[in-house]
Amino acid sequence: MPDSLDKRNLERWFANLLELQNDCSMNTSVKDLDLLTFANTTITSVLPSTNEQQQFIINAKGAPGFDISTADLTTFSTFDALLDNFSPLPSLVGAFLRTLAVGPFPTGSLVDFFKAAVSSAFPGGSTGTQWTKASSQLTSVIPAVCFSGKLQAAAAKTVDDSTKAVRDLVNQIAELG
Amino acid sequence: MNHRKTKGFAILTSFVVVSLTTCQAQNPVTLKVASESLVRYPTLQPQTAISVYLADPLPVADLVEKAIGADPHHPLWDCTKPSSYRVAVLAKQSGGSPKPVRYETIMYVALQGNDDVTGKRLTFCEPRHPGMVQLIIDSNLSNTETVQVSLVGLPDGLTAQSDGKLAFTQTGFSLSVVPQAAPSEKLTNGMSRDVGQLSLSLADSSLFPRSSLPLDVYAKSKALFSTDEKDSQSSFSETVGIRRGIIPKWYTPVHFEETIQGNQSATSLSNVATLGFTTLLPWSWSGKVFRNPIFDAPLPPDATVNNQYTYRIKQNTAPTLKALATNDYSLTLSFSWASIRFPWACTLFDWIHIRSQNTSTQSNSSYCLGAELNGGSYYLPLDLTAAKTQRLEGYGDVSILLPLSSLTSFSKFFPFLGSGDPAKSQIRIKYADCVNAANNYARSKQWTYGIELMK
Repeated sequence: MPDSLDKRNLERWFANLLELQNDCSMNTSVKDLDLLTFANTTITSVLPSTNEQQQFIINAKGAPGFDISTADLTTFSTFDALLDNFSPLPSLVGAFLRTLAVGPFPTGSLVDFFKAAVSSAFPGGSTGTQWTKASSQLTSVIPAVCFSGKLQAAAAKTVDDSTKAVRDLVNQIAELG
Repeated sequence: MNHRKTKGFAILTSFVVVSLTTCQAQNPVTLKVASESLVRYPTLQPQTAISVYLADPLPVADLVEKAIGADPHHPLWDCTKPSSYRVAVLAKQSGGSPKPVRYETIMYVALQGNDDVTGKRLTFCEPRHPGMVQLIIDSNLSNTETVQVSLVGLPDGLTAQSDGKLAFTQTGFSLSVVPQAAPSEKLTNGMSRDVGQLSLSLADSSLFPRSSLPLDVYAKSKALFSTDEKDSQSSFSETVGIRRGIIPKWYTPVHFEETIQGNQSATSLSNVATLGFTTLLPWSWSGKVFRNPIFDAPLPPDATVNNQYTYRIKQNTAPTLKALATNDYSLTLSFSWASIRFPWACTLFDWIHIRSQNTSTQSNSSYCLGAELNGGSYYLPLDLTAAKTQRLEGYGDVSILLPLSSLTSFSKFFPFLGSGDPAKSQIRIKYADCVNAANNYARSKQWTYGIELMK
């Protein structure tokens, strides 16, 4: 089910990241950053003063609709970590991959899916039909800068490794890059 | 044994076993929770919230998916209702484990995220959306108490609760004590001498955190004590104020303050009533003017405007200072403009081979030399100068900043200084031309050199 709730959830995470970038509009250098660089930017380096931080908090309350405290801006040093606090990317990536896996996984629990061997969820390795389809779906949902050719190749290598669990694959993709 | 009785007993036994199996509670899933100290805008009132994570860790995500059921608009368990949660306050019992002593009232549940369709705050939960909700509570927790959050009314015997270790720390109170040496400090008798100074700062950003007032009440105290009471910079000020925002989507807190201020020996003493506001200047237009290879200022200055009525109880009568009006008015404007960069310096440092090639974030890659400007003015229309014109006192400081991470020699010997954010370790060369409003606008000029290390 490519147009599942989990696909929308994953798309929304990146839409929210873009909204957080727009929320930093008082810093004119932020709009020049690509989405991956922005995700890994230290929050207080682009919003150093109290006024800028408070304006960002007001903006983020409007979109993406998060109630952020001042402490959050230092507790979660990057925008990626801040967004993960409100919407954990690994859970979203894992849930989306679950909808694209074989057999009983799409209707099973996330806990069991994360523990399962990658080879059981995506038989045939990186050239198998299941992973080819899953990879294609991922590239359609995740912006290219956050799921680069290099990361796709690394993920394919994990899919080919029979010792790896789905958790390893999910964490690798959720690292972005 | 009667056959019919035996069959009836067997049916009854089976029914009891099935019932027990159905009703038996599963092992509770451990909820991840966190405490939040929010400030609501525009009222600027503090608010205590508990973040409850509904999509992390995975067992919770699975549980919430089951609890919502097939139709998120008609959920089996409604994440939006305060009655779907229980916040138990635990207290340590002597010699035993913490026990619930009361339950906190949940005022409302704030879903974290917007609806894709309406673009407004979510009004229902789907699996993994929102990933977190905030329970807004009217908290009065003590340091010895912790909180345990449970989900209530879950279907199919599902249970979930936090580990009961969540503690709340009171924020909003700050204290700073900084001893410093001031060489050749100017005195009010016109002389100069080396002095020692102690800077004290105390603030409580919300005096009545649980009040229903639509504004924030705060207090602050600031003092600079000197080893010489004639030090022109010596001062104290005790302030109580109220504040709230006026423009809902633009951070513009308006404040009204009552301050008693003076110099260290209180030979100058005055009562100041202040009405003013602080804001960021609109800056989206500035890219073409202030972002170029020579001068890069991506952030706007912070600006503050104050109207002040001053009643002078006592004035310093030193011969170097002219007496000011007893009932005085001043319009003060001040600004702070940080994050100014000079990208050309990186080219220069590369050319003379003193720039470190340490990796830094892209947003700071052009930071090899920076500046910070602070300034302002006091317009005193009731105080005339010797030329019988209205008095205007300007002040300001300029700092040149050199991040240590940009210098090869520092990065080589102190690699920990060269990593991360360049603004965290830098050389500051500062020139300040100050006036001390607490001491009849006594003026002093000062050079400062230092290395700043920030964690």
